[in-house]
Amino acid sequence: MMRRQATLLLLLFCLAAHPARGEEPRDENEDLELIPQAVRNAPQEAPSTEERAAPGGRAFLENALTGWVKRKGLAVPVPDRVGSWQNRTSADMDYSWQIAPQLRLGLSDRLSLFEGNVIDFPSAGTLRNDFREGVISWEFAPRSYLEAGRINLKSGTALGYNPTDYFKARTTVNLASIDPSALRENRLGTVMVLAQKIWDNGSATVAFAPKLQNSSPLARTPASLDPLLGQTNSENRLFASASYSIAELSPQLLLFHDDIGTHIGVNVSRVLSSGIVGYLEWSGVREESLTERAIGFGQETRALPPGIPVVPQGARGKGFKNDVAVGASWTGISKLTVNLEYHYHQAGLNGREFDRWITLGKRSSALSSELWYLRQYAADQQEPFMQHQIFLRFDYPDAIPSRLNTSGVLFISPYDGSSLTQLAAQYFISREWTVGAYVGGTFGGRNTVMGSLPWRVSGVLQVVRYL
Amino acid sequence: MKKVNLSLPIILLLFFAVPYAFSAESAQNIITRSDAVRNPAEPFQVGLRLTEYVNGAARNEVILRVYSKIDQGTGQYKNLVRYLEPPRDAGKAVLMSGTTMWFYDPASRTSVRISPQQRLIGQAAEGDVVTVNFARDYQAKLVGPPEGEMLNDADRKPRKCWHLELTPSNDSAIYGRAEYWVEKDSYRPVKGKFYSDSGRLLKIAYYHNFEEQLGAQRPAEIILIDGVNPKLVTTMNLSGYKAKKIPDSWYQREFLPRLKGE
Repeated sequence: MMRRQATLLLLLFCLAAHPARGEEPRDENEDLELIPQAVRNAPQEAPSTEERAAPGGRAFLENALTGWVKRKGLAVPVPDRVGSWQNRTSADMDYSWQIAPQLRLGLSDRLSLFEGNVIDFPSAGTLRNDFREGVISWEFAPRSYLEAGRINLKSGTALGYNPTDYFKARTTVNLASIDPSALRENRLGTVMVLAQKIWDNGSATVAFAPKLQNSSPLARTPASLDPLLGQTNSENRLFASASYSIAELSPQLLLFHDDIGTHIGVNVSRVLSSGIVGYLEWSGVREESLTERAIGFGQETRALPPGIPVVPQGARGKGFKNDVAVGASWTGISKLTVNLEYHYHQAGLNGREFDRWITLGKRSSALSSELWYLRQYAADQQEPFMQHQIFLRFDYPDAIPSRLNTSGVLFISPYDGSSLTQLAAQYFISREWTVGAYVGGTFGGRNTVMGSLPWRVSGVLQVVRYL
Repeated sequence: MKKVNLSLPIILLLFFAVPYAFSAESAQNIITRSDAVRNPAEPFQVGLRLTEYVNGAARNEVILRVYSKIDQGTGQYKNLVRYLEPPRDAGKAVLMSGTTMWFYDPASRTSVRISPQQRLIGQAAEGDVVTVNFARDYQAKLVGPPEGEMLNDADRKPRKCWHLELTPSNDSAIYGRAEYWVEKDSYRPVKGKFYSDSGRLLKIAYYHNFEEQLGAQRPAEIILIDGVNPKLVTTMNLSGYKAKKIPDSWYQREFLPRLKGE
């Protein structure tokens, strides 16, 4: 009896110690065959990254060839010559140096040489220097900074439109370009003094940007070395923001005062699930409509004659207007990340007002330059032309492992379903060389928001050599 | 009246329950001690060189610097990652603190909030380069024999290892499940297999080249094999461990643009 119990107990112990796996155990050592010989032959000692000085930035040479296929039979004819090709060759640098224990100097600049079918050679448009940033930063106490110079101060969490990015207006250097590098990475900073304190759970920033020049008009060809202070510093502006880490929302409250009025802004973002991040940007201010502001600016800079009759928007005078960008990013188990955003720009045109824009342009070609001026002004201010907009973006990195990144953006007008899209591919030839290709298109009938744009297809071929 | 003999059921119960209770408790202890082998307890910085191999040939190299510090509230590490190489990525930075993650691109001066799922993207994902205490994010269970099982390490040397299964215990866990082999007595990690929530094998990791760093023998190289495409292999070489006083204020989105060559 006792022997039977002991045998039973021994059997049970073995069962307890080896829980059933429910599957044939595999030989785990087989995984070692997956390690390539090149890995085994690599030097066994890791070269010290400690000895490698952390780079203070980057520098590169770039060539970007852009081509456009024009749209025939525009509803509102374009008054100016539309380019069909442009080539840009740039030397770009973005560096910062620790010049004293608590003092840092930052410089960011791009020198570009342009050729194109609407750029006279040689002319002021042939050579362009974009002095983006030049800043002295003093850490006068731990994580307390005082800075002065030309600073690129950006705010906002959305990708397609940032209502709370208050210094975005007039920072785009080359409005005619759809060259993504020029639009995204070649933004001018604003001359300002800035103070920032970063705590363990939050931060506060205040900045003052003085008026240094009167507003420069749109669509001019500036002198090659013009720092464009008439774009970035044409009025006194005051900025303040505070952020605090709470409930994983990363909220940020912003105040901004300029010639329009006092803007109030809020940013929040939150992880909603393992693959989804939601974010919201809101800004509000008492202001005039986009059209009224555009006409006022055109007359102030003498780009438009006084007494312009063209005002497509019905609303007149100042009123409180909201700007919203709300969206979410989703990342799946594959490498794909998709962002979907809705943009609301209350000062922009609604569907009826846009129909009027088309009707007026068809009726009188004499009005076309004023009508296009409205769209140019919106682009210069980096505001949507219309009240409502849908934005979609996808990112698919490592389409070819370690070689090819792909992405795409799509702006959709909910009024008529017309769209503007751009697909991008970046191929990393080596550590130093990258080739990029961008193909864009506008889709929709001639009377639609995107179909009324002067180009149908665009393409950019970009070659970058990092130094 | 016949007396009921309860000794057999009690003994049976003990024999069933004790091994499991023992293995559950010791499994968590094993993973905690193994974490201490991989990660210094004090705030530190470390350099990482990632070499990506495709079809057996080295194709790309990324050099990073990681600043890690234990969050006193959660016991988990907070991480800042700064890209040093290649030049196209120089200056990019990533903040990971719990489920709060931001990616900073110096070219556009923008910070984008990223989801936990995005930690898994890439041959050597952000989730692989940051310092993680497995014991904080996973519940460990001994699935191999308590006395250990033999497993070859990356250098094909046989090691007696505890075979553990890790399942997430909170939302910060990067992987849906993991198998983990820890060398008996030394508590050195030898191998890991990491799975997605859906059970797909994402990565196989081999830990080797142990060196004395910040008071313990730590792996100087981790070999990562892609679970989906095993022809993608990445080596992660760790060097330049340095104890560093890192202020908590560094782990803020607003600090990312200011993370320079510290």
